Amino acid sequence: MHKDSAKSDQNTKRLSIFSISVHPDGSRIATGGLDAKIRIWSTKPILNQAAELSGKPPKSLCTLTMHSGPVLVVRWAHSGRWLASGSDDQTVMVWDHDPNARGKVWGSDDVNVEGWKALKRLPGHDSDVVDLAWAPADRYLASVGLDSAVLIWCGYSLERLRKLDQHQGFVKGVCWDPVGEFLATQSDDRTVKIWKTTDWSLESEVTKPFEDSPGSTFFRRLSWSPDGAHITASNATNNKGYVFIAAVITRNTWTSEISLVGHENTVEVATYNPHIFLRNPASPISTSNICSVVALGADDRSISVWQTKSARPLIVAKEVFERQIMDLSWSLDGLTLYAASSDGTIAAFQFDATELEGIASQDDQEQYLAKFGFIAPPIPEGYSHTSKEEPKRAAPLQTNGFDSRGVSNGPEKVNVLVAKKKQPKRIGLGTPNAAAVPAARNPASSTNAAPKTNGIPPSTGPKRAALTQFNDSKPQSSSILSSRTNSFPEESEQPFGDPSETWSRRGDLPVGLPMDLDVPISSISAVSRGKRKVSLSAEDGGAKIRARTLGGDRPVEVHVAKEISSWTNAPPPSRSPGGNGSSTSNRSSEVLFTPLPLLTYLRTEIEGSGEVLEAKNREEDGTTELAFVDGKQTEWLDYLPSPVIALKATSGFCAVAMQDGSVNVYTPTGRRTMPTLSLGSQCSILEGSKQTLLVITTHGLIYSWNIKKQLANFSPISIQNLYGMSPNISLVSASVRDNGAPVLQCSNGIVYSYDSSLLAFTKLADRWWAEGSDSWPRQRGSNNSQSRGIIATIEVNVANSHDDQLSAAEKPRPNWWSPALTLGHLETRLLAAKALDSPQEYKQAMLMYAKKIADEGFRAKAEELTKELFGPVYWRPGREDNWCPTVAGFTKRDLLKDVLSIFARSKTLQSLASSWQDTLKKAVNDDPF
Amino acid sequence: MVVAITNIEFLNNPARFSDQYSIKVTFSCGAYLPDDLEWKLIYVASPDNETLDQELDSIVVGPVPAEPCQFTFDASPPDPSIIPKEDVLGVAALIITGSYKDREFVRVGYYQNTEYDNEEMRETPPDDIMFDRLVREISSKPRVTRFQIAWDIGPTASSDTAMGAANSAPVPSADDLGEDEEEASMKVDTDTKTAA
Repeated sequence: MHKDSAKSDQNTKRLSIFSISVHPDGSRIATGGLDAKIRIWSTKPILNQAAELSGKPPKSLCTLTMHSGPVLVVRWAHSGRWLASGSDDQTVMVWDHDPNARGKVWGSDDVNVEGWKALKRLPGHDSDVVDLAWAPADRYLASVGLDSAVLIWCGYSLERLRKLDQHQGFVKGVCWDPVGEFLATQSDDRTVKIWKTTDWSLESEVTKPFEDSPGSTFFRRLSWSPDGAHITASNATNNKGYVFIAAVITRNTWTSEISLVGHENTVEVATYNPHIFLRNPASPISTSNICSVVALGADDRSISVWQTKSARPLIVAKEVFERQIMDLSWSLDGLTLYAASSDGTIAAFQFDATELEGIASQDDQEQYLAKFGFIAPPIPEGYSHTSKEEPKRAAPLQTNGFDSRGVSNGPEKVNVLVAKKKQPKRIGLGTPNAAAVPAARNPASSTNAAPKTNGIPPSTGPKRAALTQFNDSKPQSSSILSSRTNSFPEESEQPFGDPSETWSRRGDLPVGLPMDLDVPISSISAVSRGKRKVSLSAEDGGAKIRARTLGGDRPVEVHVAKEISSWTNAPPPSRSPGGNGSSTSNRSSEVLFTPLPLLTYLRTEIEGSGEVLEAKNREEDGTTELAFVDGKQTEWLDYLPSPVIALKATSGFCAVAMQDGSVNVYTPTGRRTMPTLSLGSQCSILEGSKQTLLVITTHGLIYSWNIKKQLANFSPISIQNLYGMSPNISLVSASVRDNGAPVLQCSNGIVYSYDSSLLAFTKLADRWWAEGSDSWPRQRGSNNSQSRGIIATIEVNVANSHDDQLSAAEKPRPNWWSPALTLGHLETRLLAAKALDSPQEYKQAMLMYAKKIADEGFRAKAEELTKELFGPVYWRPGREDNWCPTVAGFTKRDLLKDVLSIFARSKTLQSLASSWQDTLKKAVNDDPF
Repeated sequence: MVVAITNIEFLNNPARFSDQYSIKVTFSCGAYLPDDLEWKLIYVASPDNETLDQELDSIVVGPVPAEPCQFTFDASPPDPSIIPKEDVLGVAALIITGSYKDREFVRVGYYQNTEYDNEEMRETPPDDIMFDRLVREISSKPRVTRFQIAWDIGPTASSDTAMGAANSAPVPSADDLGEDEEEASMKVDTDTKTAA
């Protein structure tokens, strides 16, 4: 299983990757994700297995942690020297290579092999920054965000030049015209706007293809073709929103006659291959002989690559990812396409030059674009992106491997500040301590002797050349529109005659090795050869196997449990650890959990006693023996018709699950207390508590029985009902309470139970509350798990399993956020404590809840709670009524007494509390009111 | 994140319980900050009782240039009389907070382990705590929580501008990384090998 990925530090859960960008030299990529980190990776180990195995170069090059919110976009400058990133924290950062910044990263386990440092922080957006683009030759940087603004920054000084605020909704995509004349932005206001770079005025806006486009996408990343002729915009629709397309907008007329049809859900991102392609490779480059290649990534989890001369996509990669595609990036040589997904993985697709027929050189493109005759305004004096004599290949990491002409280079310079004791009032600003004054600005920046090469390629013709158009594109579009509404073409219809012959490019990308992920691709089976899904994870998760949730420690001394591959009279179970997250891929079939492995020996200990229930599946003679052992003494045994796959023993009973889907339940002395239960599918999880038995089958059915009463606690319910909401959750662990309530921890950070009176799954704890509840468990003080109650245990588990969440910084929140979430959390905790029958925690939560209400002074809530706990005014102990006088084992009016004493301390609730205290006293003394 | 801590070093560690803390903090700053940064050191004796937290010291530094910065911060040891007897020995937490304009932007937690300086007393601790025989050791692993705050820095506040990437260091191909540098990254190499 080598389907690991980037991001998650501890590999327990993959966090979404929002953006990916290939460095112009093709040797590294940058990714940005939910963990607020930017990571830089070398591509060689991703593309070449030998390099991966050798560890040279290391896969993970650098981790940058300065953003305090998810990183939604990363883009390398064309110069390759800078990296720009945009984040949920509302800032854009520009990063610069720093040969001195290598080494261990403080506060994390990361080691940076390659140093990058923050060059400049660009504040200015009032909300998340969603997309970024560098203009040709890095003259400008454009950023767009959820504040509806488009900001233009100088590509040299990184000063803000302009704010374009004509969008009426979130702006989620931006791209530059390769000619340099225009900028295009795409927004949730259902427009693509084209801006003139000469005066930043609006050139045009395109609305038609977006009239019905859904507003729910993360991104609307769009792309300008390398010949300047077209913009391909994401998230467009045909047929009143029923057909998801990418719209191809033509330069200068700004109309969209061409659609790329076939994706089954919204297109998130369109990215052109940076090269111009020749329709007929034998003919010279001319407007009528060129086309381009564009890749689309969509919410249907698939990627398509189109060559605009043909009506069908070149390839379609379906099911490479488990979730939406968030970003695409082509290498500068045009032969590798990288894709990032919210499932937390990336994929690389390698093409052979023969597959991308007619690829033209970069020079050809420059010459072609010069025909447009656009002359950019001159670059301000002193600004440049290119050094005069660029060292061809600076010997990496020499003693002084950086360019010493630099502004901020030189051995690391640290300003030593002097700590002052805090004074209640500082006396003016005065002249601060000499050492604390910003050390004189680097002289280099003013007397900058940087070479003044013009970064913009010389423009030739003063007149604008003829517009480029698809001369014969009309029939294409109509054929797409008419014949192909909802499916990609069959393999036989592919424009490439026999792709299977040409796809395998590199001998070192082996087919069928375990490292090579086997991904079903619907349209072209051979695609999988050209592509490899790789692990970016610095720490591969292979060694980390989760403790099995199902009973039974594996014995160490006496018996050695071996896995049995085939049982004499049963179908071989598939080999895979059961129960945990690995089951997701099987979701589509009936079986939700992979069957438990069949072992030669299983045992489970009854907590707090020396007694052990053990089972031996003897391979040699096909017999299965069950034994109950106390010390060295076998108390009782039994022989079973089918091998045992799971055991559970409590102080009240012993339960045994067999491979044929049946479950036996014995008393502690070995008498069958219930008839053999036939569940119809294998048991995947067997848990118990005192008199309660919980079984979850491989089909996801949850059973809960009270053994003493021999009754089901509720009708069996399928866990599939939970999975239905979100395709990617899986069960992490399961247990059961004495009262029969199951506790199901899922990978989405939510712990569920099933309420037998509500006949519904309920949430016991939710990571959501960590977003703002004051009462959510913090990390410290979490090491005394013994004394902790069930709810606290659950919450700490949820909190710990999402450690990243804690370090990820807090977002700005609306005014009432924290009180609302705290109350919601405490209410949830109250109900959970009640459902799981944990009286102490119920009381504790009630008092915290009362205190929060009192602190906030919510009178109406306080009064309602008081009335609820007091019940009918004339109710007296012993009286039969509809009202239940107790909750979670406590007398409600006793609880009320404590609650009121908390309310009494609040200014706003004081009078309410004292009047109810009187009432309560009267009720206790049975006084008349 | 305008201010990002790049290192925190406890200059005397381990030390006697009653010694001053001497802490060297290195951080990078993304913009010129006209106001002071305030730093506090807090000793958390009992995780469940915030009222027993002791603010050991607080200092300010500033104004802060938009460059890497470093300062050393000396703070008094905790007042033993306020620590509940049962919380003196074993693990306590040290928290370093950083704030700007009274808004906390970072909180770094360390564990401090406190024990007697000799084997006999560790085995059988005296009934009354003998503070002069206690030593402390601070874990090397920080736990960092960052908060997003409003820094109130206008886009123009930082005036040192780049003049273009010409002045930036060239970026050599990553393909050759790991081939050379024996000195720099032996550790890295072994790490990645196991990962691969």
